[in-house]
Amino acid sequence: MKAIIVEMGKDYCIVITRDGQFLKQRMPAGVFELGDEIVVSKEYSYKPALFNITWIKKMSLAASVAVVVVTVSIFSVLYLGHYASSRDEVFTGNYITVEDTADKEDDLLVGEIEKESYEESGLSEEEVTREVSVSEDAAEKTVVFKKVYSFAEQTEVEDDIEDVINFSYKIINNSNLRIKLRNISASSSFSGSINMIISLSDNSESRVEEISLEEFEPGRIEEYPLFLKAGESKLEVEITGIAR
Amino acid sequence: MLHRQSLESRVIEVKGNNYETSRLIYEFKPFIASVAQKKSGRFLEYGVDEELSIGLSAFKEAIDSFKKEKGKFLNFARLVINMRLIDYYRKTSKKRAFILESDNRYSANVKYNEMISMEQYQIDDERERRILEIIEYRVELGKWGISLETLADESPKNESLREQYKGVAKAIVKNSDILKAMISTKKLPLKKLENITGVHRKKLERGRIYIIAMVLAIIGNLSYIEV
Repeated sequence: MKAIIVEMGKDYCIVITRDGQFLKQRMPAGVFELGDEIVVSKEYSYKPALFNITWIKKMSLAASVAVVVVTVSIFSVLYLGHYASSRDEVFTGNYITVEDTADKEDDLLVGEIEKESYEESGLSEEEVTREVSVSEDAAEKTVVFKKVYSFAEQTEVEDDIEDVINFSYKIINNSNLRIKLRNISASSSFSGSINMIISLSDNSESRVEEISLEEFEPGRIEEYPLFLKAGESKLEVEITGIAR
Repeated sequence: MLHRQSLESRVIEVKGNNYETSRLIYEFKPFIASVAQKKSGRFLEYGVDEELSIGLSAFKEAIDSFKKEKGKFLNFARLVINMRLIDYYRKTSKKRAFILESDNRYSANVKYNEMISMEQYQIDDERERRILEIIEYRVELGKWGISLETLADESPKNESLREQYKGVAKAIVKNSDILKAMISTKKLPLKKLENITGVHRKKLERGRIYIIAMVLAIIGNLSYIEV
């Protein structure tokens, strides 16, 4: 069966057949190009994780790390629990770390941001630890996202993009646009850029803001406050980059 | 949603506009990578391998120096990328003995005809059309937050299920109200679809990504697929 190459990875490619199947085929890089037609077969189908020794090693390591972290969490909660000043204090000894970003107006503290990230994820500590310990396949992923938002209809939005980036914004007092980017993946860092095109109600472009991210790590948050000018009514967001 | 402007017209339009040029380059990053990979014979990563930085700037150079008389843009871009990579490999090669040091940089304007004869192969029309369709398709999928990787992992392996979902996609495209609603809300109107196609909502939900991919393939004229 023939198919054309629509994406190329390190040791595989993704093809589409005439009858609309999307398949992954084992393929060394540098042999074919995007758009080339190849013959596909079951024996060359790409199975990234299951029978891979490296993957098994990775999972064992992740599993042992998870055991250690859970044990430490339990002991710390039990031991340190009575030192907590309020029941909202959160153990942050695991590997979801959050950067404090400058949000001078609200004067958020690091602790509050961390609390916020746990509350938003809706998970308890143990669940978070368990979730993070599942090691993902280390393959690189291209992230492409484009969406248009209307400020009049959407004063608050949130979008998860390919389980890597969470893009959200809030409009406060009709003029304050608070944009937030968060890496929601377990183990992938994102490098790329976020283009934000703000336009007026007649669809003419008012301005463009660009955020460049380099090795934006899991759990990190980037906040970007903007003051909206009169007449600005639409936001087109384009996110392109690589998660690995 | 998808305008069928030729790539050549778009390149001419985009010249001098930094923002639009960057957008075009971003969309064609997979093409640039695949040309550079073929030249280097190995997998290359953006942000890691120098060859891809050279590829990006060569692509930009091709945009800046492109004129309609130069024929198909992708052919031209491929030539410029390959020439700049040759320059790069010469510079970084340990062997000192190479010819034409003064003539090192191939001027895209002057050497064009010679480059055509030097290249052993060109992108033929059909392949060029396919590459453009693939690039556009990826961009459209991206607007829905769908990646080709996800499609490869989640699209139905069973032929009859696939045919059923394709039928749903065709039904959507035929019904302009549903199609418009889908495009503007970026959601599948499951209840309406269930009524029209008779396929249960849960089944539609499970095939959501594939159905959307097929709809985009039909309206985007991904000509390779026979839906």
